[in-house]
Amino acid sequence: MNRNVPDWWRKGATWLWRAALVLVGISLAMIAFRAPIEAVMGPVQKIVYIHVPSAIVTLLAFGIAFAAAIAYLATKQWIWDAISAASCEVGLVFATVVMISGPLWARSAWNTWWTWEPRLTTFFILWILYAAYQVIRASIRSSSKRTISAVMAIVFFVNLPIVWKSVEWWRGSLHPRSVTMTGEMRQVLLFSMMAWIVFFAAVLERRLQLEWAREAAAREAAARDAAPGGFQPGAPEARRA
Amino acid sequence: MTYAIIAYVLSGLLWVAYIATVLARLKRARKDAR
Repeated sequence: MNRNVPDWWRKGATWLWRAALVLVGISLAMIAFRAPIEAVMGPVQKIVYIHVPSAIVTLLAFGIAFAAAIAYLATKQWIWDAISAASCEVGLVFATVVMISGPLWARSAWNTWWTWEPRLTTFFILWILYAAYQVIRASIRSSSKRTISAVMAIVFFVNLPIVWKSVEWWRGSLHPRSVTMTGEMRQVLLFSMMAWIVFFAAVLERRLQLEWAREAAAREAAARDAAPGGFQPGAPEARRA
Repeated sequence: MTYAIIAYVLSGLLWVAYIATVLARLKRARKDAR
């Protein structure tokens, strides 16, 4: 197995990164210069253009991780585990952006940094679960690492519909059930969502390259150990290691 | 306005830091695969 991904993949990734950076750049320019200043909250309302797209991409990322985990358990092919693990990690970064931008919005809108209302509480639980996924996966050294990771990605996904529906299922939610935006605000929000989805795809691709290289390294090591005169437990090299 | 700037700057820094760790880990993994 080559330590680098195939040429077609690398060429496609270059274009994906270019598209992602251009789109995110345009979206930031639109947020600064095109999106109108909201009448009640003022300029701080512009946090919504990074908060909402990041939340949507978080759900998308964990959804992909869930689907890939099912595919891994069904096929036992390493690439599905790689997609699931990569998507969980990138999704966690988007979730962290939500956790950073949310309190800054809340301080202006609700006069508090944090409150245990349904959407915040369920999203915080979501963040904890997927952070735990990273810690647990990194701590497993046995051959069952991929299976355990897939089970976690499937079980933790149960929280996603709860986050989504929390504003309807519980009273006292400060998040609105739905938001109606019109005109330039809507255009900028939709463009930002599209830009961050493409950015997610680009980062996911690079993270997948990491899984590819790790798989190649693991196979190289296994081939060396299996070769005559290769790694022998108890040999001087092994004792030094 | 200040909170909006802080939100965008912190998010940007987080992404830069994360992508840097991915690239560093990728470089090390490729070295291990040689």
